Amino acid sequence: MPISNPVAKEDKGRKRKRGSSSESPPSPPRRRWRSDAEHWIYSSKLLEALRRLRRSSPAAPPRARVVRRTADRALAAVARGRTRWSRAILSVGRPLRVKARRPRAAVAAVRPRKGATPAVPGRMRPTPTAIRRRARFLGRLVPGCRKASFPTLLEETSDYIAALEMQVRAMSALAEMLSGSSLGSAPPS
Amino acid sequence: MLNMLMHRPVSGTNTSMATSDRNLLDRLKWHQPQQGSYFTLSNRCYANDSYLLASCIDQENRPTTICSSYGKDKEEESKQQLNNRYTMLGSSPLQKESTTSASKKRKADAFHSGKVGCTGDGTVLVVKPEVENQQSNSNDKKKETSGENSKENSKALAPMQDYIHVRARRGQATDRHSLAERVRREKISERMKFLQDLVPGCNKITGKASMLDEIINYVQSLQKQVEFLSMKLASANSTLEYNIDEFFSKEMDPVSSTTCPPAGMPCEPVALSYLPFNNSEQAVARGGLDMALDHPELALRRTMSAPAAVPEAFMDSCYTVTTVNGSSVTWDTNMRSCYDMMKEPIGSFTEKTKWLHH
Repeated sequence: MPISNPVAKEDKGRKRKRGSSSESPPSPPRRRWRSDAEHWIYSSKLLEALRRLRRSSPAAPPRARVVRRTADRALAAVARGRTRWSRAILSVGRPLRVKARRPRAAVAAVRPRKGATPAVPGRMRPTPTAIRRRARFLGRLVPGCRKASFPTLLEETSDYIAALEMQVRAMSALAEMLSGSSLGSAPPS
Repeated sequence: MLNMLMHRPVSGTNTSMATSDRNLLDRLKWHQPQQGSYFTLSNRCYANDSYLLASCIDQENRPTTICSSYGKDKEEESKQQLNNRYTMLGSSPLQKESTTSASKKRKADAFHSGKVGCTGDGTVLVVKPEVENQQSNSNDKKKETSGENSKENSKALAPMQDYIHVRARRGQATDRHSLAERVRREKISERMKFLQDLVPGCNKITGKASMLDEIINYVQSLQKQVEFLSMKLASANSTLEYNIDEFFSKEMDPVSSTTCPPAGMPCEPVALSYLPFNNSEQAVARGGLDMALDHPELALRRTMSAPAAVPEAFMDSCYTVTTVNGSSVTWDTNMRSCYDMMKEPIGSFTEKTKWLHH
């Protein structure tokens, strides 16, 4: 689709333009994603992407899915591809888009129904399979972490959560501004 | 040297052996009937030869005699150790590691000069500090394995060997697999703790499964929020349609309806001439962001688009504001400052365009 390509190019261009700072993966992702600089960087990228989107398809308004994808790609670009999920988001090719959607929808319906209480009442800790099931599910939620080991998965998840929080903050601020509603919306902490 | 030792099961008269070894062998001669081929090996020699170790282990038939340092059931531990050692032996050359740790080995020598280890029933006294130093885990494993090896090989010689180094704590398994497991578990728990801080409301929850549940819920809710916001943005985009003028006027409307719209038309011819700058400043105006750093690059990147009836005053003021404040301004204050700028009378427009010229 012609819409997404300029966005993709732009994202990658931005990514290359940005220098790489040395940051170890175990460093607290929260601190990184909470900084104002990152927030600003992401917001500007998002804005760029959205404007390009609008400009490239003047006839039809962009659908929510497309907007979401551009937002995700902008987020992954800000992450500088140092994490698995960011690389996975950026490397998703166009032709796979349709196919990828269905299994994801099916998976979202499946939920580890094993409750918080362990299977056997007398058992102190839940069965290892329960944890494994949840870990699998989490791996499907976080992009690019399906086959990652458990510690890797946890690391990726923490970074992903911090990044998502920032994304939500930035997008809500942007939506507020665009819709022209009252200012002064405090970002969700 | 080692081969020679192998083929001469009786106490070796090998001249290349150290004096301590010879003393040891002499002392152990009376253990000969019990030990078989064990005591022919010096403490250092067979520690260096995995083949010898393997052969010794094969012949091991009294696991109870192997020293245990932690008060565990000796038999069980020794059997376990045997199994582990046997699988491990062919693999890594840990012997060099063991021999180079001089401080550890001196203990063995001291014990050599002291009493002989084995008693009749084979249980040997073991002195074992629980945690000696803070070396890395791999180091631990190597030293520990060399310790185990030597233990298994000679019940008589056992105590002198390197039984020192196990880093595992008291009451814990010391074999390589459990150490690796422990490392892995610690990694996982550290990351879970971190996630606990990240996910709100997880402080009271204990247990990996429920934590994972919470994390999954939180990630799903965040993703749904992003979906919703993207829908909102898409609809916001669509209402503004093709015309950027409309978009901007909509933005300005709630803020200042009196000053800006009349200035819309006169701005246009001026705006057209500054098209490259226009585009970048539109971005600044629209986002209310500090685009100062990106400004020249944006100007270069932009293609000529539809002329924007954006009042220059707004853009310039935004630009100056953001350059002054830099990145110290938070998101909200940035936006607020830009909206404040929008309220400025357009009278200052001409001045600012002159500035832009230069």
